[in-house]
Amino acid sequence: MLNIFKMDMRRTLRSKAPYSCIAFMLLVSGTMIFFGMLPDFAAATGSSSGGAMDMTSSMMGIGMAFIMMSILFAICISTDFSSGFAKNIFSRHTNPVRYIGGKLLSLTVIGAIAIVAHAVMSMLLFAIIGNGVVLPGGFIGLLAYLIEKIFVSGAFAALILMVYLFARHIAISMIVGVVAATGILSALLNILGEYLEVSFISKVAKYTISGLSGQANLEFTGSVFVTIIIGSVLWIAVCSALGAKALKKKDIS
Amino acid sequence: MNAIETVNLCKSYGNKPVVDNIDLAVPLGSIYGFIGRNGSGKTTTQKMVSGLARPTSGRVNLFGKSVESQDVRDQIGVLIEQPALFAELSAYENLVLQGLNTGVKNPKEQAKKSLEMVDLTEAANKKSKQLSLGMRQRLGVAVAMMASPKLLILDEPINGLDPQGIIEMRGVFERLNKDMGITIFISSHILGELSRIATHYGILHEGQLIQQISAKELAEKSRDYLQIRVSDSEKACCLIKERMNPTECVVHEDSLHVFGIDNSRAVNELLWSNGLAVDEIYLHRQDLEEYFLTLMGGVKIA
Repeated sequence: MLNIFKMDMRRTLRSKAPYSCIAFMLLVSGTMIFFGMLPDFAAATGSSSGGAMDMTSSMMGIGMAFIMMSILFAICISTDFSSGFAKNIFSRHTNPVRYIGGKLLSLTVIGAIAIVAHAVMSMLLFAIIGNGVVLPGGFIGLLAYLIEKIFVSGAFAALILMVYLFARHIAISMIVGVVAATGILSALLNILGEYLEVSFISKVAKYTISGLSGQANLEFTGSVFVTIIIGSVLWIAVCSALGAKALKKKDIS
Repeated sequence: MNAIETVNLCKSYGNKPVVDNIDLAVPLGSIYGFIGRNGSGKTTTQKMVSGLARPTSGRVNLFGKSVESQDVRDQIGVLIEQPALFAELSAYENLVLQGLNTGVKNPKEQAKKSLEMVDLTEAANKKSKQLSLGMRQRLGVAVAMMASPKLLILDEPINGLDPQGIIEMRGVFERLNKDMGITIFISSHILGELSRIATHYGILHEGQLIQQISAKELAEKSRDYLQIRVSDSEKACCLIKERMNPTECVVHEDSLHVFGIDNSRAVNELLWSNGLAVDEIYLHRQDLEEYFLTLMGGVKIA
């Protein structure tokens, strides 16, 4: 697992895709913050009572950071197969957990870099445009928030990896990633729950990947923190197990 | 012990069998030439042997253990279909990545050695997509060799190489086999080249292994014959049959093939003394390609 992690990190950091995706993500988010195009702008800056809201989740659910991540993750995974390098990997490693574990670790690290870069840029921009940055949970709140987001990005990577291993198609994994990132599924569940007046459905929506991400905020709350971490780990475990099954079943071409 | 052993190996896609009950035995230390027409199942077999494809039924053993065992996977290097390289990365970088993938102790050092082995040191920093097909093939072999495997599984590794490249690659394979004791399981359509290095052959036809034979047995089985171009082939054939007792005499379009006789001078004298003009007469040695053509009933390989 560690071999694949080291290999994948080296390869990813030497390719253009992560830099292009992260730069584009920062540019788009930065422009939106700068020109006040965010729907919850005042809240997101942390300058109002809603300052504890998710500053990177200005779009439905997870936001721009995760949309770009879904594209980046799908590229990183599909390149293994499209280049043929997967043959070097799978002729060497019999246990699919080695590949899935190593890959998820490297994608999560890339996701963490993107999240931290996004957070730093957001705070700088909020400061520059004069709104200031309020951290209601202090440094611990910010740290917990980043950890929560990084765990969610791991779950997100696991979902995209699983979809790719089943479909072996970059477009399908990107579409699923974007759907998860925009929180469409959570929104639909919420609407359905309200329409049917079944609170259980709305509760389930809280535990989708976008639902978990939406719970993250800058006010440190232990129960929310634990929910997000355990929820993300469960997503990672289920997606990894299904991905491993797909790897065992499908030939490497 | 065999390096590769398959028992009743089968692979089907849907209802279509691609590999049908193959019992392969690749002796340890051999260079095993795997031959067959396009679509005969060579690549699928090699993929199953490498653990990249799951057999529909049957089993694959490497060095006496199941191919699913991690121990044996640590001992193989593969080059299947085309070199597995990241196009945007340099030749050196691709080798370092394979070193990390396989857990080589000093991947950077080993990458340099591997580049040297396939004579690509000068192209080390070129992106793999900028390399010629031949250079990529050599780099693919170097990637397969990164972890110093005991068994190399190579699918058409000399495809696209120029004559010089083929000669160099032959040298590489011979060194790996003779000096380092590496077993090489190699498929190729270039039978003339394969016959220079292979110690054993397996012939695949429509998913079935129709023959396994050592190079020595092949040499014994190969039938040499006198090829004669003469003014009247039919008459010459009757004459030779009557006077010289050949094992076989076959009239082709413009020549006569006489089996079981290698004394061209005596045949020439016989024909000449009976008023037949001989334009050409020589002893033809049956090569690997002809042997397989004969075996497959004249169906051309490749």
